[in-house]
Amino acid sequence: MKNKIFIILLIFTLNSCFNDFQEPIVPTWDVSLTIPITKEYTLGEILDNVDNSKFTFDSKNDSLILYNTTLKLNPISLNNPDYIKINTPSKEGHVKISDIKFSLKEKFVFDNKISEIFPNIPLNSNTIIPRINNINYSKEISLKSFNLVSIDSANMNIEIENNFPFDIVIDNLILQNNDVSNTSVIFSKSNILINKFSKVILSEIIINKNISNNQKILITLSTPGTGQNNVFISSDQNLKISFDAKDIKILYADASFDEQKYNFSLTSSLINYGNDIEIKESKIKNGKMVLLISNSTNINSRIKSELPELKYNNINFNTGDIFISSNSQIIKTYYLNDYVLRPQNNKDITINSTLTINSTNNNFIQIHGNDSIHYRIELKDIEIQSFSGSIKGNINQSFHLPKDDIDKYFNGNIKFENIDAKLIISNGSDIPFKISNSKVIGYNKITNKYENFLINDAIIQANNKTNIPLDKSKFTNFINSFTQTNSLPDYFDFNTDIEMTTNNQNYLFSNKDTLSGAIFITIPLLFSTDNINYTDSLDYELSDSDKKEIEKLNYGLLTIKTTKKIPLNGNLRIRFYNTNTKKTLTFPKNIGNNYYLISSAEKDEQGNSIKESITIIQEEFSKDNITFLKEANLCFLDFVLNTNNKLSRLKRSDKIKFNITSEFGYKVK
Amino acid sequence: MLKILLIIFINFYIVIAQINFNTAKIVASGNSSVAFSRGIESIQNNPSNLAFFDKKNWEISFLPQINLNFQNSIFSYGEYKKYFIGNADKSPKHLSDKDKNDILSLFNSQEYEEIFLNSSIGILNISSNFKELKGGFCISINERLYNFNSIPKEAFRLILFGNTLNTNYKFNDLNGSGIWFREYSIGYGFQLYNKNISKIAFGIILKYLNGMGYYSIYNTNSNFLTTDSSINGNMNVKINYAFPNFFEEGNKYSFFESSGKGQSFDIGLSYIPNDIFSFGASIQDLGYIIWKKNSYEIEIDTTSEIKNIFEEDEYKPLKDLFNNHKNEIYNNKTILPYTVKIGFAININKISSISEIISFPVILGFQYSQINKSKQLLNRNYNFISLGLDLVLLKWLPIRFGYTHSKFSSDFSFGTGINTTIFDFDIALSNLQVLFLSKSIKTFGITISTKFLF
Repeated sequence: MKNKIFIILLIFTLNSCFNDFQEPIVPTWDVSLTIPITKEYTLGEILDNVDNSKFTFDSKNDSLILYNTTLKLNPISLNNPDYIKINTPSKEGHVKISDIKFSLKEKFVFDNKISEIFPNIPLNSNTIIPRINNINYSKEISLKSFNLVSIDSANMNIEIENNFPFDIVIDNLILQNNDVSNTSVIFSKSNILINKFSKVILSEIIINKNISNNQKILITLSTPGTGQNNVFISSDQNLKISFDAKDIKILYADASFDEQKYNFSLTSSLINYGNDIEIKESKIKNGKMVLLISNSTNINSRIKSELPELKYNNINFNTGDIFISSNSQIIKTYYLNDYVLRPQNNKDITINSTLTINSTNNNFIQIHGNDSIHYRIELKDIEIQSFSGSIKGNINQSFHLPKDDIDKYFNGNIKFENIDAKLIISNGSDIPFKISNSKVIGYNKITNKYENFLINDAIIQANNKTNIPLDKSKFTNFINSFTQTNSLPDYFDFNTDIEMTTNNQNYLFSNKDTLSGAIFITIPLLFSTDNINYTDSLDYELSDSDKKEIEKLNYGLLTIKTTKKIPLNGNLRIRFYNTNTKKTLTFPKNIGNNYYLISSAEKDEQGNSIKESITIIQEEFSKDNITFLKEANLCFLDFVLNTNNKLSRLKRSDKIKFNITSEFGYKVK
Repeated sequence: MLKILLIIFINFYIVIAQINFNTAKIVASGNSSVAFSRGIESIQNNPSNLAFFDKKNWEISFLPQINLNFQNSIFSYGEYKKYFIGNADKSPKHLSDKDKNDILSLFNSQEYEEIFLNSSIGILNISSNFKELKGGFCISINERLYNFNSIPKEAFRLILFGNTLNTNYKFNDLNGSGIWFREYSIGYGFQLYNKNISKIAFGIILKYLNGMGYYSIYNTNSNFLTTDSSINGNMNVKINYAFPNFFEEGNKYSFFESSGKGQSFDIGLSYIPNDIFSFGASIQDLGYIIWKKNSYEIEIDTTSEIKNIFEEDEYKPLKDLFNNHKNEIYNNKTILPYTVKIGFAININKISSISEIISFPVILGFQYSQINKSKQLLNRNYNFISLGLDLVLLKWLPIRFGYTHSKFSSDFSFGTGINTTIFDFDIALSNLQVLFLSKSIKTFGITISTKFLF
């Protein structure tokens, strides 16, 4: 019995031992973690971390910080037509139909038999011709080569051939149209003596006549007779009067024509950036001549042009015959590679052209005096291979300041002092060149502000660098004109004319004929400002493990004590943004304060910091704040810096010390 | 990290509460048997007792036997139930400031929490006794491991409350040591004097030791102070450790692989003046291990000031602190902490006035034990006083009680078993309060042992 009781007791006790025991569950609790962070930065250290190539310091001037930037002028080939451009202005010519001296295909020939004029004189016999006065005679003819020709002017050549065996006097000669509606007189002449068996040639300018194809002459004729001499009268004896209209300046014509030629000449001057060029001789590397011909007449034509100042192997440039159909246009481009240019008077080029109006091949065409053939010629994009004389060019390049730099350092109204700038230009060629009318143009796109900074003319020596100092005061004013209204220019343009002159020798361009350089700008951080703004954004994506850790935080208290020896007031705002919920959490949380204010160190009149300032900032983080920070994914830092518009001098040794004490309630689990 | 330390402590506690093993007869009588242990129990207690005959000439224990004991100086099972079993819905309990203050108040005036873990695996134990020789022999192979850790109260304060501005946290009591070795023993106990019933015996056990590994953290003098401008720390510590090759990644466990070799011995003396009284004393683990492989020393005496903990330049030196101060040392000698035991036993049933009342064997034992400090493994001496009662109500059913008083706690132990002529099975609890899951439990151990008798 004792044994049984003991065994039951043992089983009971052991059972209670192992059954009642409960597995452990680790408790959770909150701890308060205090993390102090002390960090002291000199401005030199800060800027070294930013980009130490942009910031240097002036060791002679108490380590004043200098911002350096270089606007590089990319190397350019001097014979590049983009910079040294030679061409001619577009030279135009109009050849009107009325400018061309036309000739008609046929003469107006009146063959007057003796029997028609003197019907009473016996034929085929020897007869004494008595004095006869005032014989009136007329004759009509029809012409086949035209219907109507209206002339502005013409030179009418009249040939009167007297094949009679006695002298005659044409008391009055009239040539007139012989249409029902038009009997206007074209030509008239009086008292024309024509000896026997001879002819008289007259020339008369007629003006403003309409000539139809039906013509009539009216003659009043006399003869002194043969006296006592018998003369043999035969039936073939005649008085032949022919009219030949030459150098017709046509107002209108409905006619057929034979080939007509018209020569004309143009002179064009080579230009070089608006300046008169002075090239004695130049070999062309690349370039072209462009010819445009527009024929607005009803006649097919040909043009042939020759440029005696442009030669290849001493042979003048020649376009050959260029055929232009009636009422059409043609453009011809001729490449002038390896041609040699020897302009007249070191600048002029002559274009000698011949316009040929083709024959109408007996077809009637209608033309008007104002119908014209338009002619335009120009030399374009001449890139020279060599030259003697003097050429000019213009160079323009744009430079952009690093945008980050503008946003970070100069985004505000700032007045700088003593900005140092210099222009260095390198000349790679074997001859010097002169720069003139040089300037730097700044542009700010926000204010639409343009400002020029003029640079003195200078000679850039051959194969050398030339330092062109820029006036410090003027350059500072130039920069301040931008920074005092908004910010630095978004870009600068450097623009200059260059002129290269050979010493009566032929200069052959090569690859080394380049121009390069840079503008070196040094901005001392010696300035006054009422606001320099800088906003930076950071991607703020916490890892899952970080989020888990932050989730354990219940509250936070951040105390920041700054001890500052920088002569600059600083305002700071931190914004956390959740792109999913579009919500922002801004610090400082206190609605009344837009920024945390970190006051400037005390400074002397020269802007040097002389005494540290102390600022204490304290911010509490609630659990909601911490939850927001956990989910946020963007962080913006907004800085506004100012000097109270008094001069501040930033030096490498200027420093700021942060004592940050962060106290966090952390849930251990 | 601080939390992890605390959790390690708690988890050790739980593990020990569920699994424990020791030589049952020793544990049950509260470690008071230096004067009356016999047979195999003599190997762990007093080698001179090998000289005395028990029930049979031969005792053999060859089943792997795990012995695990845990003790700590501050936390009891009551605190465990209060803080570490969660809420009713199984969610973790959230410690309030009051809870945290209550935990710290457990320390009272004590400035550190001590945790002692002792484990051994009995692989083979054989004892034999020969009347003709008036003595007995033993051989044994045992795997032994024990460690001692001391965690300062300030560490708990830091873990629970975090670092407070301008508070100096001192960790001078942060110590720890541990060792794992295997001992191959051979011993002999013999009677120096035997006249009538009076006997004096002496015994010695020689041990060859295979050192597996050890660690030792001592000479600590560290503090931690947070000001509004920096975190200041001062660390002065010396760490020694060694480990076998199979601890390195990729290496397989090898039974005979070791990092160090050593020797030790136990000696014992017993005096039995009559049937009623017996006296015993022993000194155990007088020896050393010389570490030859993977033996390192880290000695740090540094002061640091971290102004910005987020800057790698500032915390990196601390990150690499241990590696930078680590040196391999050769033939480093570790002296084992030796134990002195002295005690006596009374066979109460032999007292004439009592023998008429009690017919079954009753032994009352008393023992004083002292574990002595050693430079690298134990930084102070530890003393125990034990009182045990061994009753054999039935011939095969022993019942044992014990009382142990130590720096950690005063505990009642209990044990019983089935003892036959060929086989002994014993079980013991080092703390009787375990039976009732008393909230004041700070130490705990269960021992189950078997042996065969021939």
